[in-house]
Amino acid sequence: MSSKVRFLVVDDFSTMRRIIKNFLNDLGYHNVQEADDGLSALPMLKTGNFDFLITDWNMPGMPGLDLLKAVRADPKIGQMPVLLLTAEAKREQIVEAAAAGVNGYVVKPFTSQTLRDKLDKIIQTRLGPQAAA
Amino acid sequence: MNPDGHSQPPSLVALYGESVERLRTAMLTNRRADFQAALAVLQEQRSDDFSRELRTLADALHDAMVQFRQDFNAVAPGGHESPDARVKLKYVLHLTNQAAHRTMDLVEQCVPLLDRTVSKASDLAQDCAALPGPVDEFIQATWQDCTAVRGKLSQLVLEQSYQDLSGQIIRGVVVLVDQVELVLAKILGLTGTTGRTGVYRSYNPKDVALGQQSDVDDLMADLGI
Repeated sequence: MSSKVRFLVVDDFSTMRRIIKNFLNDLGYHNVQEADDGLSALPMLKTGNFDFLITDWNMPGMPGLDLLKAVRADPKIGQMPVLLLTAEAKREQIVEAAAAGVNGYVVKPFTSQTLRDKLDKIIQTRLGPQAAA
Repeated sequence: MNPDGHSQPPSLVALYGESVERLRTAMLTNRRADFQAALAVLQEQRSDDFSRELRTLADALHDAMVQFRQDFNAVAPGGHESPDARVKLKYVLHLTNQAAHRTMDLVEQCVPLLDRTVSKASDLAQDCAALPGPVDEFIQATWQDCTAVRGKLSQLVLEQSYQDLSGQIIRGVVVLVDQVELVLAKILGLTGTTGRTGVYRSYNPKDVALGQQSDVDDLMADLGI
């Protein structure tokens, strides 16, 4: 089943962006665009053309946590679901991300089942069952 | 010599015995000028030892860098030589990135072929309901095997995430090399000083990473997410 949910995948490694995009396509989410850091992602998000943000944490320019804070601070896109997909797994970092309003946190390397579970949960609770693929 | 081939360092008595004895005698006889002179000799000796130790460390680091260059040039394809450790590491990053994308290119070329075979097998099974047993079994097996291979290919793509993780580590090492070079330059420039550069951070238990996704999930649940 195909879904209309529009994803933006932000990661400074093109390999990871491609992996996530392929994975989303396999799940039935075909509307996926990419950005290589927060600085290029934020103007894209502000256009209002996205429903879901998946971002890495550790990136040059604007890291994922700063991007998350910028999204939450913008009334137009502040409610957007955000999933952090990162190798950063220190307790303090997770607490900081939660305080900033993240909706899900997946540690790299991840399994397809883990990513699928987190996506399903966030889409069901934030976008509604009709949005799922 | 030690079993590992290193020379034994000279004993403390051999290094400082005479100076310490002179200092002790001056102290016990309360001769201040002699005491100050003996103390100055000891301080000078200590400074000399420190400089010698720094030179030894700098030499060892230099040798390691030369060896690294030789090892890298021996395995680099096409005579790709570089004297800079950071350039070498970025080259490794480039190679792994290229290999990961090439792997995904091949997977993406295979997937439509498999999907086509699965689709045809499915159509054939529906169109020809009364197929002979072995042919029907073959079609069923083809459909099942292709579906299984499709799943494995998706997994293969996911496994390429090692490139992102190893890349982040390599970038960290590049930063470390920057710091090492900075410290080495300072050592060479400050021979004879005893200042500490404080490059490395002290251990902080808050920096300990949660190793498992389940630990992260537990923490997120505790935080109400």
